[in-house]
Amino acid sequence: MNAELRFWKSVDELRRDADDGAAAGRDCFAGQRARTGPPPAVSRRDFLTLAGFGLAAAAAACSRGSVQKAIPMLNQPEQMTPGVASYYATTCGGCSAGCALLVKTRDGRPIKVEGNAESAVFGGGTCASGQATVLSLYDDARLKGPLWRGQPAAWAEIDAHVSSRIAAAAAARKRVVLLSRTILGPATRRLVREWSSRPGFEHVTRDAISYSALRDATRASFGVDGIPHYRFAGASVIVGIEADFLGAWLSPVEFTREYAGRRRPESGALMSRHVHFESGLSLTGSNADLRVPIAPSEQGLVALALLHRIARRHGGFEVPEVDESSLDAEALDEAAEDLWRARGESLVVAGAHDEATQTIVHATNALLGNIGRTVDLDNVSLQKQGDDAAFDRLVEDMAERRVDVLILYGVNPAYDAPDADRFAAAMARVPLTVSLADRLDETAARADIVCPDHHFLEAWGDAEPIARHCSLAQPTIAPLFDTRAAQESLLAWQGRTPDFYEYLRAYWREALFPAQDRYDSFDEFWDHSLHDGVFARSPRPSNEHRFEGDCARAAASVLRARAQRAAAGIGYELHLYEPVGVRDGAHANNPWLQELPDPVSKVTWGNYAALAPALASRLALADGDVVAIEAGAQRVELPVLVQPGQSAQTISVALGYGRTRAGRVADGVGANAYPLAQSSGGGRRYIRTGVRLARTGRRDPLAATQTHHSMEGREIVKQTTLASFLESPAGGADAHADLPNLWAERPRGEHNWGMAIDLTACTGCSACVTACQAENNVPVVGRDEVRRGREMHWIRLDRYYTGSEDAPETLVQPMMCQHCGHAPCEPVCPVLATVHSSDGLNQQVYNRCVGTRYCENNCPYKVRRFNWFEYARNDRFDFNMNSPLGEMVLNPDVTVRSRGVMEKCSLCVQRIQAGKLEASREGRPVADGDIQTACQQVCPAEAIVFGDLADPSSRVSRLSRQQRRYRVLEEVGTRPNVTYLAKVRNA
Amino acid sequence: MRAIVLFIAAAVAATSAGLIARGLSRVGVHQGYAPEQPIAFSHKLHAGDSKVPCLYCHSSARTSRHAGIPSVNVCMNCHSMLTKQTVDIERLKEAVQRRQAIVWTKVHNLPDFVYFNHSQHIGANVACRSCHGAVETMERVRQEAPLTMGWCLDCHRTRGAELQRSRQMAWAHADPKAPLPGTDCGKCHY
Repeated sequence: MNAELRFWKSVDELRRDADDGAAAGRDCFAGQRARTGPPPAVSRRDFLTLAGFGLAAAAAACSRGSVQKAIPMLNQPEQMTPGVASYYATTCGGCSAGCALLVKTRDGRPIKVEGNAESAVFGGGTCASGQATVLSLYDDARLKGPLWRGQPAAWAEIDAHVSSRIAAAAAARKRVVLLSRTILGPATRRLVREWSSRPGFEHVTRDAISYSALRDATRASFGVDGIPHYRFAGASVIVGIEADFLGAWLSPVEFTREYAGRRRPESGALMSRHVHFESGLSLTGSNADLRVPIAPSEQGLVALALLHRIARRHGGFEVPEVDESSLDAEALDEAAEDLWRARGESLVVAGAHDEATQTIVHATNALLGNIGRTVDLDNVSLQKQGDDAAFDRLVEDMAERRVDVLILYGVNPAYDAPDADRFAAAMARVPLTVSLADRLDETAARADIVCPDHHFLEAWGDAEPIARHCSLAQPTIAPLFDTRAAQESLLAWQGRTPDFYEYLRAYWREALFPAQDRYDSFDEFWDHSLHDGVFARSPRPSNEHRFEGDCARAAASVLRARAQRAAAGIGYELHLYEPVGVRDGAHANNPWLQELPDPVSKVTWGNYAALAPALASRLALADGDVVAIEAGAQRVELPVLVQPGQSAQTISVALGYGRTRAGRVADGVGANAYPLAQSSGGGRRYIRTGVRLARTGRRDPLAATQTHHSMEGREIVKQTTLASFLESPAGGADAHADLPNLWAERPRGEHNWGMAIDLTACTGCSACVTACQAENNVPVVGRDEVRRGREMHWIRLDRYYTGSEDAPETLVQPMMCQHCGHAPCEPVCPVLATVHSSDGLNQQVYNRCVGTRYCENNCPYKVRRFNWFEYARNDRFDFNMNSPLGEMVLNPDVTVRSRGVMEKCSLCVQRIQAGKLEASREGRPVADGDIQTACQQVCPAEAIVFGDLADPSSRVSRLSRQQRRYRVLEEVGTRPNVTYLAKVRNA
Repeated sequence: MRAIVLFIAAAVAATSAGLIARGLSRVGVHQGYAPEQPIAFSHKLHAGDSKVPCLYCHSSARTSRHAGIPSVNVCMNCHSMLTKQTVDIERLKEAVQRRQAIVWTKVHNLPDFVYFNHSQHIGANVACRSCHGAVETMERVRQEAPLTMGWCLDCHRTRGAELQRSRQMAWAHADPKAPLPGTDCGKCHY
């Protein structure tokens, strides 16, 4: 293993270590810690006196606890047993990827979301945002009923009014427009088609973050309407150009699953190779074998340079020469060489919102023979259907008073449109606006009528994210409030029966039931589909798709843009991106996602302006200095984050923050960067040039979780190259196996629970963090406490950099309680609140803990979290645990910890117990795979494996014997039960 | 003289210390608790004289951690057909008519930091009366056992030990000297 690599966690650490070694003992929180407040009024001696009297009084007086009530149901359905979970298959509505889900419900309410392993596309994983959707169901900001001009109104009244207005508009041939987000469900799509079939009726689709350019390019290049379905599983070589496909681009769960499936060093030469060209350091870029920083305006140029090289090898395809002086020619040569060698099994993807760049990428894939292999144009992705041009025309029409009725479904342009004011003004000119939003958001607040839609966990529906892959969505709880399915609102206003369940069944009976031959009766087909959640029709066969795009014109456009940029000269470039977590802003009011550390920067609760270290140092800016970014007439103020790997003259800013009407968690957090996406010619652009940066003199310290611990020269994350690995696989395994043992060996119990984590598969997506939070009732602490280092996540992803600060290599390591065989935390607890179980777990007994925190001090991995406050039912922490609605998400099988108690990863002991109970009830031993921890179950890359180390044939045992194995800090002698498999990258 | 005073003082101190200790150790122990219920349901009549099995009404004990109190539809399985009228049966029928669930008072309460799973114990063939006493003789349900941790552990260390050993030997060939999983702290406190 490469022991000579020097790892550093932050730019400060890199520079500090460069100066001298004296910094090793420095307080890691210098500059970030806040004062704790004035000294207490009561002195210690008084306190002890009062406590003594209080105890005596309590003992004398108190002999009985409070009276508890038990309220069984009046009429209990057979399928529901209190205390036993029921699972329902449905489809996620968190974003438009449409992942298949299996939702766990207890006592009639959903408490946990899992992926549906029946889905061939998505598998059993979900992303962090998907995990958090169960909490958004219990959001206090949701509307409790319909509103008419801000006042509660009755459905009947509203329906009468809207129906009559729509009918009047139709009669007078006026325009009635439905503006919606991407509609994934085929039944709903048919409903909307029927709706817009009448004269004057129109349906416009708008995605908050646009993929219009990719759609337009696909149509122009291949005559196909849709976005290609990218198959990473078939790709041995992947070149990404500013596409965060493992993070938030298009379909991250599916892409992560397929990508990680090809990152298996044990498969030798079959391990895929990934080169990534990007400006900001994204989650995907941090996983690449080679990451090349480029300026955002160079995206098209990089694509063109690549096409040029491929075309030269292919022959017979003219591509104009490009001025590559600003590009890394060596990297491009290498990438092109790899792509060509793996033609037919390679993939080039670009995230550019530019038709020309996408056309060039389509041409590249065509020349490489990838069409029909890794780029499926026959079974396209339907996950983004937005049409920017149609939306711009609509806003124009609205402003010109040519729209009579506007219905808004799943869109919030008054927040996320680049020129939100223009949209709001245009909206005011529409005589009747009806919003189907679930809350009084920025757009709904301006609508005349709000008819709140169900949350997807309360609603019927279906989805077809990839053509021919259908899934159903069913309610997992009766609607909590007086909301109504959007589809039923549309049916009601057409004068039809507002029963979407029947409509859905009718659609499946007519369109999908005939497309299969497994079930003879529709009811059988329906029941099985509902049970399985997914219905995969046989895919359309591969057809020939010839590239017919105008490459010459695309190239000219790219070169022209580049020339303009060069001519403009001064200023920085701005790169806007969709973050993992709050995404496009829809999830901003979700405290779990606000507190989720960004996978790369580890910053929570807000966005920031990421600057390259050299740039920051030249401008004398440090983390937390607030700067004003000015692009054209737009201006946004944000704190700086010094980001290693950030392209030299580029500022990266995340979208999705700065909401004003999302709820008490979201409002005022971060700054709204959408206005920076304005484009003078209409549409949107996520790259700006000629951007100015000005210091404001203010400071807003970042709430980052990354500056906790320095590496102290230890090899915490091991990395090697594929070549070295294949040559000598067992490089660093068991390096410390000969350490002397101070303790007697424990007698071997029935089980020995442990874990194996493959660092090559782990991408750092952070789904495990949110899954653990949902499963184990981990509290949210808020921005101020995160600044003090008191976030409560039981599992964290440590992110390390190695190499130069301008082009670092990034490593990610999931870290949770290692359940050490010789745990340093156990002997130091004065009250034995942390002890070792007979089956290998380090247990934390909350009721014994008195809060000395000695265990936390002793833990070398720093995985123990202390409850500094009462986080539940405490107005100071007004998140989901401070509201009767939010409390519904809590897992009843896990204690909610109170103040003064230590907590940490328990290896999901509640799931272990449930698994053992199930096995014992069936009279058999526990089988491998019966018990999955929350983090294991959610991981789309299957990087975490839990199981019984006492069983030599279990998966975890086999992985723990693999040659890449090592344990973190094993030189300390802790004997952890968690084994890591070293990260392997291509050279 | 002084010796006598000292002796009396010491005796008083010791006695009060003992009483305080006993009081403290009784905090939260509700043995003998027999609260009044909204409907004076008699287990003596149903489980005793009519010999209705425990699991007929408390069926969730078989599969769930909660044994629970039966929902009204379970009562109505019989009472919709029986003609006997009493004040309490009247209250039962009223609950059905008014569609109001009955608010019972829980007799056996474990603190929130304890996890107890009925189905695990039923699966291990622990009789209901081992912990709940002779319920079929009770007019009003009474907590018979102290339900303290020590009391639970007594059984886990004896009867529980036998069951676990046999399972360990059959399935996992564990070391006989290994501690019993049933006595791990994290078995019930997590």
